Amino acid sequence: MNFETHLSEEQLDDVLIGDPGVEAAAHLKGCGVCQERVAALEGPIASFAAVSLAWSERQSATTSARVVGATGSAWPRRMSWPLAASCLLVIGFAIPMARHEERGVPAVVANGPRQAEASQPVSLSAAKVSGSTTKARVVVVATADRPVDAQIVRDNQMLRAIDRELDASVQSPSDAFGVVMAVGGRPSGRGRYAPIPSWD
Amino acid sequence: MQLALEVTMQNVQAVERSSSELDDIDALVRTYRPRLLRFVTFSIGDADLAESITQDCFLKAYNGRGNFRGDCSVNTWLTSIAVNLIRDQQRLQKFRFWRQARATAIDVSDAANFLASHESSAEARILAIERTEQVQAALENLSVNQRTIFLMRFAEDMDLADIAKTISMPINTVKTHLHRALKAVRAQVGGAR
Repeated sequence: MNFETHLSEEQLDDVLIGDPGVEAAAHLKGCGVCQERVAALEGPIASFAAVSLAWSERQSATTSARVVGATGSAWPRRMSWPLAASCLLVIGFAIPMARHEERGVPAVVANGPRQAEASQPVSLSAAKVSGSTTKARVVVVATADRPVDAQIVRDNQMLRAIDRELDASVQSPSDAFGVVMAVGGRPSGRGRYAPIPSWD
Repeated sequence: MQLALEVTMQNVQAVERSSSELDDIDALVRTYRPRLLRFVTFSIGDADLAESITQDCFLKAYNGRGNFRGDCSVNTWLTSIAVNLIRDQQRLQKFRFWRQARATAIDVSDAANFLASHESSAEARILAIERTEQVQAALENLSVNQRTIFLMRFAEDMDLADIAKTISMPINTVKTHLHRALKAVRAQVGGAR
């Protein structure tokens, strides 16, 4: 091996690149001068690789959380505004509708035939008792399928039963005097029961 | 026959491992972000733009993970995506390279403090910073292709065949770029002495 002539710059570069020829590789093994020349360029490149990696690791440590957040939850972030708008819209419709129902305005159109059939007897009996009671009330009873309304219907039935029982079994003290009680006024609650004496 | 079967099984396992690696975006970013950020940053010379491109690169990789065939490492695949993004930026002329990017230029002087313990002495740190700045200065005068290829070879430790495949260039062209890059580095390092 000839160590008097050293590797050219191009051959040294080939060594650094990792593609040295057979002859250059053999020369490099035995030539200290060429080894130093290679090391003179390898050192700065290795330092650059190490320092630049340390730099980017430091950069990544401070910003990786932000990047992960941006990449991982892109869909919810994009959809947050439309979702919030939809929620507001739903709430905006739901509150007035709930208030509307609470006021007891009958939603006749919304009632199906099944509900009408189920509540029909109640409405009829209610109509019988109250006579010309306001239609709105009857309709409310007829359309009601909520637990509160059902309770009201049951209470009304119970009161009517009590009334009938009292009418049939208890004798009025005025019967002894032959006084006939006539019902006056309206059954709506505003009328008064006025005794009408009859002197037979 | 047995040996061939084992090699095939190892390849299949490697592909499965790489595929599952791509499914976890958090782990993917944690593992590969520093190297990828370095590659992009020193390729384009603009730290802010590099952040953006690196983020795009991970998004593209995650969205296109079904296209990963496992015929190269995940790092090489990510690097090839980054190269395409850098080229897109070049085509669109949305950024200016080194000379115009001073505002967000890379300052590596602090980074030497985070080097491994064998280089942690004060003298070693100063020498490392000095050498790094020399190479950095040499890179400033290279073309984007030369810089990218230099980084692939000497920062990413990719071999010539992988580099040629990643940037779709003949190996001889890759070697020519590397020769020019090394000549510039040699001139910078030699001139500083």
